[in-house]
Amino acid sequence: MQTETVPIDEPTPDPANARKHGERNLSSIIDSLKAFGQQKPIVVDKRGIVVAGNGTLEAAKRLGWTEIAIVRSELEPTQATAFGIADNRTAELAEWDDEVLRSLLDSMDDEMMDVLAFDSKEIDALVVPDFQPVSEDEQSKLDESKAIICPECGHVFKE
Amino acid sequence: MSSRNDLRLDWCSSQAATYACRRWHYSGCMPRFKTSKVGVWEDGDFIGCLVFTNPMPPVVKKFKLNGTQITELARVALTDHRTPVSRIIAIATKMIYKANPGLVVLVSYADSGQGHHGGIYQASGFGYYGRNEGGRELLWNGRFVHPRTIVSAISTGKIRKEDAWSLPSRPTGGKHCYAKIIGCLDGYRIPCKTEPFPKRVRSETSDTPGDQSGEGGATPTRTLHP
Repeated sequence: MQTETVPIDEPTPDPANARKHGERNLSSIIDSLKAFGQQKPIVVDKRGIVVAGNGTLEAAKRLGWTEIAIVRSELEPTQATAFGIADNRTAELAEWDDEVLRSLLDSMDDEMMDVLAFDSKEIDALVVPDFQPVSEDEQSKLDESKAIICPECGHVFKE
Repeated sequence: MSSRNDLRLDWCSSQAATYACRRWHYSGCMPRFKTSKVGVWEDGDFIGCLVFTNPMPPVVKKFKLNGTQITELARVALTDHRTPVSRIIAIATKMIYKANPGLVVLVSYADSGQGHHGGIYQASGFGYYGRNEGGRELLWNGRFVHPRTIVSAISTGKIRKEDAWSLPSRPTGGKHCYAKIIGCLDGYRIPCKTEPFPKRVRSETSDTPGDQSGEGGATPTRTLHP
């Protein structure tokens, strides 16, 4: 199986795609493409119709990409359609391990959290982490302004 | 009923504060500037935090102080809790003052656009110093949001710039300003006239009912068991 990079308009979105890509889904894919780039190719059948990755294609277009990575399936169109359904359905049947997921989410910085497509209520459904008190030293001093010295002229700025 | 042993206020990490603000505060985010964060634990469970910061220059100017003499209680991000918020604010304020003895005034705002009128500040001994004019908010994905959210959404590709221009907008209700003196500065008095407290009413500009949960950024205190 070989990955090709083709002009963005070459693959044809599946007109009979059974998966609906709402705005939230597309926004999430856009965030993911922006953060990570395209990490797996979309799959097109022999006719050039997308059987897996219609959402990715739409998101890439919205981002103004001019090219996209694809793999061409050797499956016959009917089989390719069945693959498209199975590809989505098998992912749908997987479940999260909440404990592991929570631990992974806790390790993410703010920027990464924004591209993970979990909203606050979904994260809330996971157990609240066992946050412990920390030292006062970790807090900013609100009654002091920090002096910042310009490395060029030595001028002292107050924060 | 909550006993003193159930409640613990202590300093909390940025990670804990970010977690609390994301989930339990309507803004969904931490203030951008330097912060001091007081965590709240009940029965050993983390239930949220209060975030203090230095306010923006117009606020400092309004109170005729310098930026290191005034602090803003910028977030009250609590999930379900038994302890009255006023008590939590009182303890947190003492902690903040003890750690920052140069502070003179504590200020906080209640967002009328969120249906908040500042009941928790009224119960905490703050004076009321009027409502600012507010700006406009935009309807996006079924919710009215701050223009900053739209700017951020444009930058992340969630909305196209040309579409953002045509979003419906409405004026926000402005924010109620509350303040109290927490420190000592010879001869200092808050240089603004106090006004009568606003009442809990349905917001003129918000779909949010005045008696919504989340008043002041915290869910209301549950009924105490007899």
